[in-house]
Parts: sequence; structure tokens; C-alpha cells
Amino acid sequence: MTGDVLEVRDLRVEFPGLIAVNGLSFSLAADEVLAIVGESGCGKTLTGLSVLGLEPSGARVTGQVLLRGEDLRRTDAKRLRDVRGAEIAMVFQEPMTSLNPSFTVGYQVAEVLRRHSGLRGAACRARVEELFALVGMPTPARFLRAYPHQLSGGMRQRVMIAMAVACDPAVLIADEPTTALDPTIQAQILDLLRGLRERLGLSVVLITHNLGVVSDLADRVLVMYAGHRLEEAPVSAVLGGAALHPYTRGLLDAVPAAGASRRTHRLTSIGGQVPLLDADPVTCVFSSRCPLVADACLAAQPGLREALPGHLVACVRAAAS
Amino acid sequence: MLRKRLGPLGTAGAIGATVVVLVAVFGPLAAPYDPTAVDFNHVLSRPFTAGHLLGTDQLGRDVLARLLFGARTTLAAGLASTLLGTLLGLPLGVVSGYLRGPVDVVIMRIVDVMLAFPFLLLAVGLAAISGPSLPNAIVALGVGQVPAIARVARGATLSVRDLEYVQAARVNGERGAVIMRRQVLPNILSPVIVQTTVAIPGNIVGAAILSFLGLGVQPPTADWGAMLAQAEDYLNQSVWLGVFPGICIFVAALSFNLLGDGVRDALDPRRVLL
Amino acid sequence: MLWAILRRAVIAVVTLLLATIVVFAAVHALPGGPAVALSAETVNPVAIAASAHRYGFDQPLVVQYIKWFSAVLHGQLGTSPITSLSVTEQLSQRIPITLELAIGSLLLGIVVGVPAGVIAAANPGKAVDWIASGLALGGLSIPHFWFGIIMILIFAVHLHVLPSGGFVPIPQGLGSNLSHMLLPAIVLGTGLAAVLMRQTRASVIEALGADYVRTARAKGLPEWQVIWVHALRNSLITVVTVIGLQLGGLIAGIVTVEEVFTIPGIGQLTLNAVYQRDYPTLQGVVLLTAAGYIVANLLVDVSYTLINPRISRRPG
Repeated sequence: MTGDVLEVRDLRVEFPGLIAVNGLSFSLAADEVLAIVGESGCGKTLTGLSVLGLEPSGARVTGQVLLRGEDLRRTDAKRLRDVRGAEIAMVFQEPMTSLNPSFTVGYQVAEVLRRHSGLRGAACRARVEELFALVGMPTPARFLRAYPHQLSGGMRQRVMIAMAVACDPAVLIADEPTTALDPTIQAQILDLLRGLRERLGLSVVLITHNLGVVSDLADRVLVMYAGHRLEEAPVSAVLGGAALHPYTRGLLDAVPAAGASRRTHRLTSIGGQVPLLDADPVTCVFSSRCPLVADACLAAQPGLREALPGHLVACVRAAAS
Repeated sequence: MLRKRLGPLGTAGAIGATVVVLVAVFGPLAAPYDPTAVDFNHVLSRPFTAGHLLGTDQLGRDVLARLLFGARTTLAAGLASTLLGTLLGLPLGVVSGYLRGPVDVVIMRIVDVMLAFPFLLLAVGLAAISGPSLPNAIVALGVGQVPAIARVARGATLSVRDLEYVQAARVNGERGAVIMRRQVLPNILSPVIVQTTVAIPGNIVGAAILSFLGLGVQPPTADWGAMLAQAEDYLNQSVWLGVFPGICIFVAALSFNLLGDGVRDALDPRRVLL
Repeated sequence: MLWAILRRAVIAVVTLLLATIVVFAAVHALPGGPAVALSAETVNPVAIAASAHRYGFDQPLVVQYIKWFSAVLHGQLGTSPITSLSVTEQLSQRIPITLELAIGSLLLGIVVGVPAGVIAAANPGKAVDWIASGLALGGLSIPHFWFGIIMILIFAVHLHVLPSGGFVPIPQGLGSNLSHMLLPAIVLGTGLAAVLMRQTRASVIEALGADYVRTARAKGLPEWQVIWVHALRNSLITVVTVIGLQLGGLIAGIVTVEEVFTIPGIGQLTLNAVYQRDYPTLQGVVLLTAAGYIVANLLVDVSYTLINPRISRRPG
């Protein structure tokens, strides 16, 4: 759609013997938060990495990644490096290992400023301090010379976020930004992300397996499974009980409702494991674990259809729920 | 099978090392001459002349024969000193890592002191006390290797001593020495084997250095390093004297280096199997 | 951070003391005992006994050690019976020469080995990597004294480009001094360069797989910055460790290279002393070298604290 900041078309990420992402498409409008949800191994992290061209060596990637119409997978390396950090930024899951232990956090944030904004010296340091304050770090000046190992997990993640928003990117890709943190800190970081999104007008791709995070932050949800897009809908619909795909319903049922009486709510899990496909599927990818599986499901992987306005689903049994 | 575990280079090294060892063990049986037999009629003859495949040295001794016998002395010195170093350093490292506390501190300080005396100084010292000899050289090389193997053993011991099966043995009332022998030792074999294998080429070359300097085997025993020392004075007349022994040392060191690389890649737990 | 350095310095001093005890024990084991090492008398038993009494070597061991130690501390290392020069004088004459050789080869080894390792790590599996790794393996396996002989044969004897040995002090001509030092430094530096190249390559390859490298690329940093700043910085610890471990082989290398190239340094002095049973000189050399090693290891330790922020700075 025109006006979309980011559009991914038919993304396919392959390794020898494994198709990790199979024909994934989605779009991200300005100032919108899209959550990509799925279990471990569904390909969501690879999707995020492929947008920036950071997929591991050995991966074969095809498809288009359009940033305001410009296909990032077809541009030259220099243009891609200009985009990274400045127009699309990424926040990773493990802030301890994602920060270089040998340099101060101030230096590492200043690096991205020097690279894209041309700031130097005192002006640069001032901007880093500004950013630290923006992400909620107390006494920002003192943290300029701190090393990653001297900070707590929450602080490190704030540094990563500061690094990401430093050059005012249009898109932020957040890969499991709170998974490695304590629950109380998780809430703080989510608040921070929400606040930043409002203040800076960021569009966010939020990759997570935690539906609580989704409800807190996202506008729309994309459910991924074995590299395929199974459902995409507004968050209110999915979490409000109008989820259509059996897998999505399974995910929701597996989440313990906080405060719910233990007698009435039993945790139901989806039996089996996410398959690792080495070829295009000849059945519905979820058929082996689906409670609603029928003969039609074993004929082919269902295509996406718009069951309701703005609500896409890839299931032949969905309308029957 | 071996090729898969060691990789192509490691296998080449293993083959080379085996060849070198076989030459050292059986070569002297095939030697055409007595390595110490002098022959003043055929001094410094070139290779391929007068029945001497690789020529003769300044005393008319057959170079090929001396190379074959030299393999024995050089290799024996290199391997014996490596074994000695491991036998000394391994217990030190295990005891130090297992018992920790004051024992650890004392042993590590002793190792620090050993680091202040590289093998050459030890060889010099031993030579001053009881004259230069092959046993002195082997001791010097072996002791010089102790700090490295002790540290590796200690590090490995530290990482296994708190694992469950060791703790279980402790809880069962096993004595320390038994635990160290039965639980710790078998589980630190990998890094120890790697370190030992990697030390071999250094000790072979080290043995050659010591005999080159006159601190190891004494003439007229044939030894690659000693042959090079003697060749130094006769380079103008016979370049070959200076080339062949060096090539032998180089090939031996290279083979064991390749082997060591292969062993390390095979036993390194962090090796990613893709 | 000062505490860390201070602690290491104290340990170094303790090690130094222990080392002197070892040397004293060796001196005691000499045929003729310590008297032989501190006096110039090596032959005449009566004179030996007389100087033994003068130095107090018929007294309890501990007393002997103290007397010996204080003599050493005052620089009274005895006189060489061969050259009749004081040991201290011989040592101080030759130290600058050997130092120049040692530092020259260290520099060469580092300047060649580390960048080669980084370049190989940045291009794994390509031709550059194979060539560099192959050269490193060769440099590792070649006995350096043989390498020196070959170098002399090629460059001095056949090509007449470089001198075959000897030493020219700097005041007599910098160019001449350097041309005499070039081959020896290359020969000595090759082994270090080979080991450093391999270690750097392994460390940088590992660093390049780390998450922070991915972050650096995600920031849009140019690849050279990712490799030479982010990856290399974290490999420095292992590089320094290797340098520290190689120092032990350096003395053997110095002795052989000084022999092959007839350089009048400490190494040559050591060899002559062994051949000539010059015990005072030997004792002086061993003490000096042991002390030198302890200091060098201390420097390596200190550089750890400088490189690794985790060691010097407690978490705040």
C-alpha cells in the first residue's frame, strides 16, 4: 500500500535443508506497531534480520523489502549501511552480549551519531546525554563512561534503545526486547517503548512470543508458524476473542490468565513441536497439531484470505469456529 | 575415519608424524654406514657421489646415516621431554585446581617462579652444574613445559570440580586423591591431550636448539641440531650439510604441528559441527 | 585499578625473591660451591677455601643466602676469571645490544602477525587466508637457527645485500646498525609473527560471530570499523596472553640468533660462559634473565588490566 513506511513482499529465507521463512509478506504504516508473534523456530527473528540484511551467512534470501518504495535487498552495500541505524534501527534480545564489553556505553551510542549525524566532540556527548535522559536513565552524564558489565539488564536495554533511536529512524525493529529481563523491568521497558513511539512517531515491528507484550504495545498482530503467515488482524480482534486461526486460539489458550482461579482455568498446550520444513509444504503447515484438522487441510497449504475487513487468515476451517 | 576426525591437514600431519617416528625407530637399521665412522678419503663429498646418497660431512661420515640416527636422538629427546613435562605438570595443576586455597596459591607461585626460567636458562644451569648432556637437556625442556600444562590442567580442573558427579563423590566420603584420579582426571583429558600434543613440536625444535648450542647431546652422537652446528663452519664448502638436517627438523615440526592442530580441532568442545 | 597493579607488583617481587633462592640453590650445587661463583677463583682449592671463608660459606645456609643476596643486591656479582672484567660491567655493556634485538623482533612479530591474522579472519577460506595460514604454519615449524643460516646464505653470501653478522652501535651509524639488525630481527620475529597470526585469526573469527558485531553492523558502521575496532579490540587479551607465553622462547631464540649472527649480546655471553665454565658470569646472566622475565610477565599482567575493563573496574 502506498503510504506504508515498510513493506515486505514474499520474503523467503532458506538454509541448506531448511526453509525458515516461506513467502512472508506484511506492511507497516507510519506510526503503527505491528507485532510478529510465534513460537521459537517459526522464523520471526530471521524476518527481522533479513529486513536489514543482517541474516547469517549461509542464508539465501529472496523477496523484496521496500522502505518507502526502495527495495533494500537490491541496493548496494553502501546504501544499506546508510539505512541501518539511521532509517531502520534494531534492538536485540540480549543486551549484555549485544553491547561490546570493551567500550563504554557512551562511546557505543556516540558511534552511531558520528556515523549518521556527523556530530563530533562536545555536541555529540551532549546528544548522547540527551538520549540517555530520553530513555529514562537517571544521572545520564555519569553513565557516559560506564561499561556494559557495570549496568543492570534493564539499563543495558535502555542503552540499546537509545542507540536505536539516536538518529531518528522511521522504523524500529525490536526483537524480543523484554524477554531477557525481569518482569518488573519488562513493564518499564514497555512503557518506555510506548512513550518513545508517541513522542518520536516511530513505526515499530515488535517480534515476540509473549502475548502480554503484544497486548501492551501493538496495533496489529501477525501470527507466524513454520515460516508462514497464518493470521493477521488488529490486536483488539485477536485478543478480544475474535481470533480465527486454530493456532492463534491455541496460543491464547496456553496463556495463563493472571488472577484466574486455578480450578476453572487449566493450561492447555498445543501438542507437538513446530516443524522444520525442508521443502514447500504439501499440507497445511499446522495440520499435524491442529484440533480442527480435516481432509481439506491435507490437500495443500491454505492461502491467505480476508475473512473480515482488515483480518487475514490462512485456514480452510477458520470460518467454522 | 581418522581423516574425518582430524581433517585433511590433521591427517597429513598424523601421517607425517608416523613416518618420522618410524624412521626414528627403524631408520638406523637401514642406515648404509655407521654414523660415527670417519673416512678421511671422502670428506665433504656432494650428494649422490661415491655411494653416499646425501654426501658426507667434514669427517667423512655419511650424512644419510647420521640423519637416520639423528632422528632417533632428536625425536626421543622431544618426546621424552614432553612426557616428562606432562607427568610433572598435570598433577600440579589438578591438585592446585582441586584443593584451591593455600595449596593453590603456593603451587601457582612455584609455577610463576618456573616461568622465570625458560628452558634455555635451565639447560644452561644444569650444564654448569653437571656438564651438558642429553638427560640434562630433556629435564630442562620438560621442566620448561610444566607451567603451560599445569595451568591448562588447573583451569580444566576448576571447571569440573563443581560439577555434580564430583560433588556426589565428595558427599559419598571419597578421599580427595581418589576423586582426583577417578572423577577429575578422565574428564579433563581433552584439553590436556591437546596441550601435550601441541607441546611436542616445540620440544623437538627445542631439543635441536639445545644440541645446536652444545647443551644437549655431545659429539660424536648424531643429532640434527648438532649436525647443523658443525655445518656452520663448513657452509662455504658444502651447503648441503646445512640444508638436510634443517629440512628434517622442519618436516618433523611441521608434521606434529599439523597433527596438533587436527587434534585440537577434534577435541575442542566449542567446535561447531555444521 | 591501581590496586590491581600494586597487587601484581607485590606478587612479582615475591616471585623474584623465590627465583633468587632457586639461583642460589643452583650456585650452591656448583662444583666448588658458591665461592666459585662470586670470586674469581675456580682452580686453586686453597684459594677457593679462603674466599669461601671470607664470604661466609662455611656457615648455615640461611646466612650464606643472606650474604650472597646482599652481595648481589649491591651489584657485586663477581669477576669473570676468563675476561677479568667485572660481571656487572660485562652485563651492562651487552644489555643494550640484546635489548635492541629483542625489542626489534617483538615489534616485527607484532606488526606483521596481528594485522595478518585480522586480514585472514576477515576473509576466511579465501586465498588470502590460505596463504597467510600456510606461511604461519611454516614460520611456526621452522627452526629459527636454521632459518638464520639460510638467510645468511641467501642475503649475505650470495646476494651480498646484508652483512652476515656482527653489530654496529648506533653512534657509529644508524643505517649500519639497522642493516646488521635486520636479518636477526626477522629471523627471531618470524616465530612470534606466526604464532600471533594464528591466535589473532582464531580470536577475531570468534569475535566476528558475537552479538555485538551484529549490533555494530546494525548501526550501519563500515565493515573495516566492525573488524578492526569492535572485533579486534576484544581479541587483544588473547593476543597479549600469547605474547606473554612466547617470551619464554625468546631467550632461546636470542641466544641462538646471537650465535649464528655473531652479535655481542647477552646470549653470546651466556654461551661463552657455559663453554668456559665462567661461573660468575653465568650466575649474573641467569639472575638478570630471570629478573627480566619476571618484569616482562608483570608488564603483560598489567596490560591485562588496561585492556579488559572488567578486571580493573568493579561493577558500580
